[in-house]
Amino acid sequence: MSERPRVLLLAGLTLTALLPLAALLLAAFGMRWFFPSLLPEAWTAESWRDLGGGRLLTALVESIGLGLAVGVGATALAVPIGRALARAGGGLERLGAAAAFLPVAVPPIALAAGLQLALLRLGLGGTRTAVFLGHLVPATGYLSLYFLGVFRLLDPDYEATARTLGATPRQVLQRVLAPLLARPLREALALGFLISWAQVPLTLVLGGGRVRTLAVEVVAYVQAGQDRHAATAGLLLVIPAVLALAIARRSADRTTVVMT
Amino acid sequence: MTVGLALDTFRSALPGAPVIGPISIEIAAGEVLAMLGPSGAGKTTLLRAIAGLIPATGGVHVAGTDRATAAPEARGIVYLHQTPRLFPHLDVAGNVAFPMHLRGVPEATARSRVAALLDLVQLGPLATRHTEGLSGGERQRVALARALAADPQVLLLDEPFAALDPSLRAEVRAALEAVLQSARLATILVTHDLEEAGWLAHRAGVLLNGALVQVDSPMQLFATPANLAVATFLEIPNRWTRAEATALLPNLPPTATHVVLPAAAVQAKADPAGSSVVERLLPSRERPRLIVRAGQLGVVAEAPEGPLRPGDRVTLMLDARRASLFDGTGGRIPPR
Repeated sequence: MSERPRVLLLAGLTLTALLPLAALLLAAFGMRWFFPSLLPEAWTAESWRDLGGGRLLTALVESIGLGLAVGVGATALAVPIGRALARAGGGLERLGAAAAFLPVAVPPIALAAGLQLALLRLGLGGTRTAVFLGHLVPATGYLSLYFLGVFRLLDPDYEATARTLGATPRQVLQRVLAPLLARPLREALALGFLISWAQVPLTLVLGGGRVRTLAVEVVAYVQAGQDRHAATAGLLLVIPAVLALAIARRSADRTTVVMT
Repeated sequence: MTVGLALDTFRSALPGAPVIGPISIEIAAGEVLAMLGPSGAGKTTLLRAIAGLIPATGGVHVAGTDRATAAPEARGIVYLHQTPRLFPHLDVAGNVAFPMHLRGVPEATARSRVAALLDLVQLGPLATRHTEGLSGGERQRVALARALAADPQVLLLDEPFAALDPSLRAEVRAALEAVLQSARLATILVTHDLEEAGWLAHRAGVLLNGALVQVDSPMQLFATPANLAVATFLEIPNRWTRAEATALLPNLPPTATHVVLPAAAVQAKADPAGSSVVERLLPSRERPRLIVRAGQLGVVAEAPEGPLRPGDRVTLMLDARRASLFDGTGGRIPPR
């Protein structure tokens, strides 16, 4: 490919990434912004004042709490699942990988409908626990696939070596696997957090409208025509995604340290 | 003799791995048993089963205590891989201290022991080095020091020299000798290298298709292979069928179908009137060997009296008493 098309492609890619962000910024701070004006007529930080104690702050705290719980919970489940699948090999590994992929592949709204029936029977309908469990399902599936790949690359003889040197399974986990997998664990926590962070259908259906996360609030603001609040909440939603991207990029640059 | 490791009808039959045993053997504390065998014979599987890393049945006694059902960490057995798995998140000293940290050894004690062990394998100056930058030989020596730090009673070495350049083998062998002298460990050394087996081991065993076919001193193994398969694996030269051997060894017993004659039992003597001709010289670190054409037969011989060249006529002198005779089943026929 010659230089000119390459530059045009790169510029196009950059614009598709930056234009929505720029639009969000303008909408979050702009007043009286009508078509076909390029910029709003006036500026305000009114919607940001909600962060000092309004609906937006409550939603932000809810999302962070839920995201952290899902990140930790899904990682804790996915590590042993991924390890067991990688060690099983053959048909069992393929079957397990397919099972882990199912909640990732199924549209969230279909997953939510199925989960709601089960959670209602358990008396958890419309609770924070129901939303947490609902988010946990796709996050665990996704992270199990992630750790399946990690454990496929991680030499099992590290564990065998540690065992014959006197390490109990618990010591192997603490003193060998945890340090060797520090980076994948960090990435998994970030990914699990993000899966929960961006989840709307599962939260709406399983939370019954009572669990208000930031993503749910964005939808509500858009539906109510409160564009500035929607843009503000949208910007807040972007921040962790950008941070996760940075973490993933840093890890990708140094993956050989863990896998030998 | 204090028994360091005893296996009693030990057997392992893991799907996808060679079936091992049943094997019964005792290895004394301080003794090194070299385990020889072709690829796929089950040597690594045997070591992993003894270490408790894969399922097995039968007795495993370590220093007189039954450890057959003990977890790998509670057996007193350290297994060293062919390519040592040094923990990449720890430096050299951290790797050596690893087993002591597991046991809760006080830091000061662990530190002085690490220094002593690294000195033993001549790696003292590398204590704070990261393991990534170490050579293959240095990695093996760190692994040996780390194995000793676990205070095992049994050491299982899986081809420790196989992944090393010849130039590094000597340094690892020296470190291994130092380690074995410093601790009275019952050791099984898996190797392909017969020379290393002869150098380091008190006894050598031959594992063929999971069966321990013969255990003897390395010298005896070559002198009296238990069957034709052992002789073939050991690459003892001059393995002939009865028909091939008759011209040189006319008085074979009627049951003998195969004959094996070590090169040292065949001497070639320069003789311009001799009926045999030197075909070519074989590279050898010790006594020169040569292939002599005797009729239809190529005979590997030694020439103790002086150098010979291809084309020289010689007379062959065979020491028939050193010939191993085998019957139709490949079994050894006892000497008459």
